[in-house]
Amino acid sequence: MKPRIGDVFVYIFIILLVGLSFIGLKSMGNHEGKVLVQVESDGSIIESVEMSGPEAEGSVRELRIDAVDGGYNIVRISADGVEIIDADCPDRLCVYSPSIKNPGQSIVCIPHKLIVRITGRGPDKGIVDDTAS
Amino acid sequence: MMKKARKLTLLGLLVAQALVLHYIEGFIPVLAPGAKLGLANIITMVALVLFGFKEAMAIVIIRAVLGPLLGGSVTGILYSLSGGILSGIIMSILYQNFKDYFSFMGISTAGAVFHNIGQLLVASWIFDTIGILYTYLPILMVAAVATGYFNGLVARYIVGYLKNKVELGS
Repeated sequence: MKPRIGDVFVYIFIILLVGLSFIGLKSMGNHEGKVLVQVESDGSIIESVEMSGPEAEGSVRELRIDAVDGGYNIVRISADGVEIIDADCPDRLCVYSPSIKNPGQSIVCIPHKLIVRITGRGPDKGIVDDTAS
Repeated sequence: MMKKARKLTLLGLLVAQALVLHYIEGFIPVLAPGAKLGLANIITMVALVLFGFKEAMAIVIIRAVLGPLLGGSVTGILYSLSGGILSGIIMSILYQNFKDYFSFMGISTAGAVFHNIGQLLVASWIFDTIGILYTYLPILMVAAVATGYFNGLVARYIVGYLKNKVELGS
């Protein structure tokens, strides 16, 4: 009645399988929760930056986007959100726009034909049924 | 050599028993969706020990095709076939080559594990996502340890009894 050596292998195999499936589940969860910051200039996506994930954690990046008319926008991407911190467009509405964080939100700079938007599915927040900010 | 009619009768009996077990375990509530007691696996084990690989697989295939027709959907055939065949092959390999290293409970548990793997692979293929595999595997593995042990124990007692009572020949 006592377990034999082969039985031990069966149980080890089961533990390995359970471990592997947890690893698989985790990696799949990351993939689904991937949030991208896309910068669209004059109708085409020129930058695509990952917002979540291990390498994006805690880092602050500033991108200088050269607009089609020769001007510029500076986009700051951090864990707290995405905002345009400087631009030489006449109205500077994009700079005054509040920072965006959730998928589906966007900042638009009409003079420079620039759209900064967040795409993908957030890890716990959906696009709908969220408080407007 | 066992008489052909006698062997056929015994195999028919085992198929009938497997089918009944398959049917009644549908009424027994289980903890997790997809988890089953796998009582029919007892019969597979018994057939494997008393007869051999070919006969055991024949019982598995007949049970897997007829079982879902008794009380289930036709797509159930695909699941029970994939699980049954994979677990039957694994149990045969373990029993016939490594009999000395495995107890009945160990072989039965391995069979339960591969039954689940076979079914989940087919489910992933049908639903076209590997996520099903990751989500269900852990809980089904835990269930497989318990049911595999129980089924192995039952099979051991049945084989121990039948080996003395039934004249199998060969």
